[in-house]
This record gives sequence, structure tokens and C-alpha cells, in this order.
Amino acid sequence: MTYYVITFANTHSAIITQSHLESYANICIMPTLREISAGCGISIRFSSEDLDSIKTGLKTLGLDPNMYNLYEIKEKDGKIFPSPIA
Amino acid sequence: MIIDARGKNCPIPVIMAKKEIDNKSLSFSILVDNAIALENLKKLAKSQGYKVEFKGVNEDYSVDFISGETTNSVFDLKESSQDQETDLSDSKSQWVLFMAKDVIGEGDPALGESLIKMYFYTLSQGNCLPKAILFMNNGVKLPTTNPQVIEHLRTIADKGCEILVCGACLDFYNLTDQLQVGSISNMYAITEEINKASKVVTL
Repeated sequence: MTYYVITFANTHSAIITQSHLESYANICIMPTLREISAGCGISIRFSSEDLDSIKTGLKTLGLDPNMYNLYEIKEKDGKIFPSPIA
Repeated sequence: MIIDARGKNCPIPVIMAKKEIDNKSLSFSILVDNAIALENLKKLAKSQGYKVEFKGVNEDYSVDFISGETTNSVFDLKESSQDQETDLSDSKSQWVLFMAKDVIGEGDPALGESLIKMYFYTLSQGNCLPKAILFMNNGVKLPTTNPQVIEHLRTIADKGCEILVCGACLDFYNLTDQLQVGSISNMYAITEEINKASKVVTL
């Protein structure tokens, strides 16, 4: 299973981004994966078909790119493999 | 003995039936005119060791309570599959989750809503599920108006957890017809779940 998450440098950025992105894609709020060490506790999960819409949504929000990170998450045999994406 | 509870709103039909059970009546019938009352009477019967048979046209039901005997209701198949699910969850855990709010904790509502979404996300991903989740007061807004939580609750319910939602609360907030997951319940069933549980978690 593959999906994407956005992690944030702080909780406020996560909450502002969450309400903004709801109109761009089908998103899900989840706790930041323990496998990802950086970022605050709130992440936004979405599926691959929404990657472009999410990137557009992040641009229109104008959030400082240093305040968030995008990851592709692969789950295999109960293990989680996150890889950062640009 | 026939009790006419038509025109009576929740929880009056249940209270009328419970009175009859308390009077040690071995069998009686109760007439109701809505599906919620029927569901609540079925739950009451199950919890009190009564078998229930019912027949109905449109929304008018005659519900027969029979103490401890077998029954041949047309809904037996559905009932027994529900029993199996409950038994399955019985063997897994005995704790229940009581949700009287639609957020976690006190404080900023946006943070509280994010936290509740994350809690149900995490709960739905794991295997340590409660036997039942009980929604009351503001909590009933979760299985009705919160799409992300509704999705997680469906996953949790599919794994055998019972989801009971206070009917009086749904009615108060005008949300009865918006229930997306779980079943409309009453104070009797919810109190029983709390009493039977080895642990009650409130967020």
C-alpha cells in the first residue's frame, strides 16, 4: 500500500493547512508516523491521485516551504517505509 | 397482555416494556409505530433474556416478548449474525469507549477536532478495539457529521465493535436521519454496556 503524507513543523501550520486543503482533495488527518522523526504530531494523509491537487493547494496557501515536508509512504509486511519527496 | 405504546416517543416504549419485565411478566406484546422503538425494544429484550417476535405493516409493529424461549422470527438470521459479532468482540476485549464530546479534551475546537480524527484513525488501524463505542450528547455529532470519523467508525464496526448512539441526543440535535454508522440506542443499553465493561474510557 502506498500513500502520501504532509508533516509540519508546528501544530498551527497543520491545522491551517488541513482546513485549506479540504477543498482541494480528499484528505485524512492522522498522527505523524513514528518512523518520521521530524515534524509535529499532526499529519495530513492523501492518495497518489491527489498529489498534484495537494501541491497546488499548498502553493495557493502560501505556507513557508520550510514549515512542512511531503513523504511517500510504502507499507509492506506491516513495516512502514517513508521517503521524502520534493 | 398488550401494551399500546403507539404515538409515544423514545424512550417511553422501552420504559413501558421494562416495567412489564420488572413485573415478572413471562410474555406480553407491545404496539409501537416507529422503527427506532422497534430496534430499542429488540435490544431491551436481548439484554433482559427475552426472545422477541415482531410483525409489522409499514411503521406499525406488534412486538411480542417471550421469556427465555426460542423464536422463529424472520429476522433470526440477522440477529444471530449480530450475536456472533458481539461474541467475537467479547473474547477480544471488555472495555468500552464513552464519547460525550465531538472533540478531545477542552481548549481550542480546531485542535480538539484534529485530535479526535487522529484518535479514531489510530484506533481503526490497531487490533485493540473496545467492545462498544457509546456516543452521547455532543458525541453524536461524530457518527453523523464528521466524514473522516465516520469512515474510521465503519472500519471499527466491521471488526466487530458495537457502536451505540443515544437516540434522545440525535433527536435533540436534529441528527436522527443523518446517522451514518452504528445503531440508535437508549440509556438502558448504554448504561448496561458501561456496567458490564471492565474499563470505561472517556476522552
